[in-house]
Amino acid sequence: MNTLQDIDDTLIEGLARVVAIDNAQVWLAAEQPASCGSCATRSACGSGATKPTARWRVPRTLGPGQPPLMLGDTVRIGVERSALNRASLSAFVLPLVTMLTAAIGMQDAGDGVAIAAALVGLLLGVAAARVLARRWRNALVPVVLGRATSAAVSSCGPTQTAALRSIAIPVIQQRSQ
Amino acid sequence: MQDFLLVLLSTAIVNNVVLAKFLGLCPFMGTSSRIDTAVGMALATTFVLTLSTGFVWAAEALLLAPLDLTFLRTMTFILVIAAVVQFTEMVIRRISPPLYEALGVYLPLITTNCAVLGVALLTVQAGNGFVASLLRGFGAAVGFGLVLVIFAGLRERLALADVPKVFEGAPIGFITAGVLSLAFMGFAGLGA
Repeated sequence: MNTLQDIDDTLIEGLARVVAIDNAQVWLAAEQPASCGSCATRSACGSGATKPTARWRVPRTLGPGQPPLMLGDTVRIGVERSALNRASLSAFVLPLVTMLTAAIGMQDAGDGVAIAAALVGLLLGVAAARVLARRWRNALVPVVLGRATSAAVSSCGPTQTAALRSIAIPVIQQRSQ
Repeated sequence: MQDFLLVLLSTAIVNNVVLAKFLGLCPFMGTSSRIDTAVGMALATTFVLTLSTGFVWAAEALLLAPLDLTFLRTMTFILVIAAVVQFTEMVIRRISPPLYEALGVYLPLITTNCAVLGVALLTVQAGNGFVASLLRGFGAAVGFGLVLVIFAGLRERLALADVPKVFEGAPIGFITAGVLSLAFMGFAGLGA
């Protein structure tokens, strides 16, 4: 059984917001991290402009003695650190490795052929990364760690929410985008 | 092969983009408070920087130089880098939505990372071939990621240290970065 310390060490924390209530359960959507939401030019920027999509369904009650989650509430979610590192390595590094390998392999044929080989290598790497991402999709499903305090939601202060770290509520249902 | 290894070593360590060229200091200071964020930023930057170096080389060799439009170099490179970042964002969102939600915030930040434009300009000015330029970009990105993660580890330790009040936060961060830069100067001349 995971101890409190184990959960803290193996999870990377993020924030999610309650976007819909479904009887005794709620739908959560990942919060856009603060640097994008607080940017002065966000109205003119396409990045992060899409509305958050409801992704995970969890129980509405986080534990005995705690009020049920309401629409707009923010909760802390945790994703397994090793799964996230594995996914980011496969998504970012694998296409690079295949691209560089293909380009180096065809360098003697001239720059034009090397460019074409690099593009093919990049596409093959992206395809392989997609296959791996599908295989490891379930490992990236987060658990709910507790209700986020105002300090955790703010981008200015550290996340002082240790008192709520004793729970790890699994997701009931995941909706793909 | 030995030449490629020397290019990688030179760009990643000897001529480190952050500690020797002093490029990309904003993300270096801004995303190095935790190792988690540093690793995410390092991986995303490695991907974008390498890819943009390749595209920028192709734009210079196939478009700007033949048409004698090299005075448009900076503007064209910024356009190419922004396009590569948007492409990367779309691909990551497509292949792994959870990963995009966790690390996607770093991608827009890379657009304004001067290290990406700086490495692209320096690589094109060096006049190397396509593969060597690609490796220079990759080496610079690895160097950026390396010092970012090292610095994040140092800052996590510094957060627990008893630092005089006037040096808390950014000042002690800059002093540490300066000492780290001095340490990397020890690699000068390696591989020459």
